[in-house]
Amino acid sequence: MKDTWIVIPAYNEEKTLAKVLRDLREAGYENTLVVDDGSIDETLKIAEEHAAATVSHKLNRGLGGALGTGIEGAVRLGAEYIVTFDGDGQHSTDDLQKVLAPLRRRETDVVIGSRLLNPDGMPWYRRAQNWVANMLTFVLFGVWTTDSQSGLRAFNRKAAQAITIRTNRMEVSSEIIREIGYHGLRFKEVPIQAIYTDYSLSKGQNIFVGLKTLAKLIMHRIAH
Amino acid sequence: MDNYLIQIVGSAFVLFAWSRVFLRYRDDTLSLWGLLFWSLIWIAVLVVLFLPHMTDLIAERLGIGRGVDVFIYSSIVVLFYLVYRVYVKIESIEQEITKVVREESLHDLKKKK
Repeated sequence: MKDTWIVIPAYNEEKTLAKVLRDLREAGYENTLVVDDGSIDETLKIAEEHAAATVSHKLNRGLGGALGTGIEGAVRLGAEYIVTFDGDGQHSTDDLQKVLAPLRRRETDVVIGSRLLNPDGMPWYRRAQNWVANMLTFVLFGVWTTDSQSGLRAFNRKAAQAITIRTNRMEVSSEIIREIGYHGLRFKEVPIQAIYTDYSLSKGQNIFVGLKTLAKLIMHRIAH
Repeated sequence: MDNYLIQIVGSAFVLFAWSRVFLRYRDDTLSLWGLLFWSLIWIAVLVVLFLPHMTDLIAERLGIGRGVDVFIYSSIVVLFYLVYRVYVKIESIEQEITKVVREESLHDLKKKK
């Protein structure tokens, strides 16, 4: 899969990153690009050891900053297909095929792996939180998704070049949805598994980060 | 002169604040519009300090009970606006920082053999 790059934003993921990268390689995805987002642990060292390419932010810029760098980097490396994949081990490599297939068939430009078309194993409070995020994404940006906050997304080259990520932090997930709507990109959701461990839950958006994300989204809507 | 003390302290503060504004304008961190905006704000404060009854006239026009309330309401509105401006500014600075960090990190991007 030489034409596909897997972008992994990583901030202090030393516990899980090596396994994630090994699993990806074993599944046949040798092109992995880790964006170390100014980690203060061994993330960068692990990435340099196991990933096909690594870039490192001198300062922590947040998820949005890291994703923007990763997508831009993958485009520069000549990727035809770009997948964003979380470094905390919550995604299964089996799902990569599912998000890539519609792109390869040229049916669509962007695929989002939705954890909620198949929500087994997601704690109820996470489901409720996701529903609120989806509602808001719809009200603010006019695109309905079942899982606007999903970290597993696939883009073809055209979409990756069109999408501009301006926000730095967690609100990036909704911003990507907005960009899809804005550029009139074709977009599809496929069901994926989410592997919820205490670790991956602790890394996601808790309710306070969620509220902050909401405030920022509304401010953005007013400012732009 | 029953408002004696507030007028002295108030004027001293206005002078101080306006001198800061002027200095920022002189070293080019503040635009001409910024200078005018802030000068107007501080002149308005001076007017209110020395002619508090001016605000009663405005209050009457606007249907607000007391003159001093007009002053407080408009101060809050101005504060909200300024906080919003600061928010937008910080956000755009954050985005600029990300651009710099991103370009720097992508500088020596290549695939490991």
